[in-house]
Amino acid sequence: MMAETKQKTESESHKRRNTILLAVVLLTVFGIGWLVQHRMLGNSGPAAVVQYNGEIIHRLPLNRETSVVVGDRDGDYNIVTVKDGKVSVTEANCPDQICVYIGQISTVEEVIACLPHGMIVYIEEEG
Amino acid sequence: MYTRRSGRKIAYLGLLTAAAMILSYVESLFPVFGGVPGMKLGLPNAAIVMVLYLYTWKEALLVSFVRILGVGLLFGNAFSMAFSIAGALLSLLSMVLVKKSGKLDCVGVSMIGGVMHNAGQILVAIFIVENARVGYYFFVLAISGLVTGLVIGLISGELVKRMRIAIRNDGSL
Repeated sequence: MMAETKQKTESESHKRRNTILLAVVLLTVFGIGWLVQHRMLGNSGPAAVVQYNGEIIHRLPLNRETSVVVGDRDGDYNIVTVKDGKVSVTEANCPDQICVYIGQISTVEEVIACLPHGMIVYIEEEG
Repeated sequence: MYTRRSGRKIAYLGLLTAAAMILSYVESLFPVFGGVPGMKLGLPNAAIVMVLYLYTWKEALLVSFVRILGVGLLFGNAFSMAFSIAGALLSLLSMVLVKKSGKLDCVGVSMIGGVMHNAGQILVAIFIVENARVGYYFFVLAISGLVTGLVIGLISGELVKRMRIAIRNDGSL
């Protein structure tokens, strides 16, 4: 215990003050970053892009209701559905089901990621 | 004396590892917390922070590794194991460095751990889907890691105080 108290370069109250300061600074930085991100990318886009293992395999216009099955030879699959101008993964056989839980997305800042299958769906503006 | 002491230490580390594993399991019951993938309470980090403060970074690394291995074998798969190792290692590394610097207290160390855990997982996610778009979640996850890290730090700080006393009294028996 003695050795440990000697090692301390700053007192506990000083450390606590540093912690609070850093928390406020980081919270402000991340908060501003998040706000800027929302302002810059907040428009709704017209097409859902399905990317599988790094390759774009589908571009689905959001104004047309459709459903596609994406998958590979191992039997991994995700069903991507466009409905009411929004896109969602309605069914998948991935272990965590996170892509299904996320639900519908419709803005360019959003993304559905199915990491076990290496698939992501995101929205793209026209052109 | 030596064997008695090391036996006691192993018992305490086992206890904390078990606590970390239970907390991981509790956390896995909510796959998508708050509507953002990867957003978690970081409960197991409470046990890791405690080991880091009660012992050294070596014990913390050991407990962290055994937790991931155990949880992966019991409730997960190779994918989830690799994914959590990335977050846990980056988180632990940054916590050890911050603690060594002596500038922040236990709450600050836990806070940095929370943020870096999410940062590590986003890096792996970007690598897996080969698209930087998953980085979209960085700010949200950074904020959530910061807040949950703070709370976890407060809790584990109190627990460390009490466990230090318990371990010391235990030694005099």
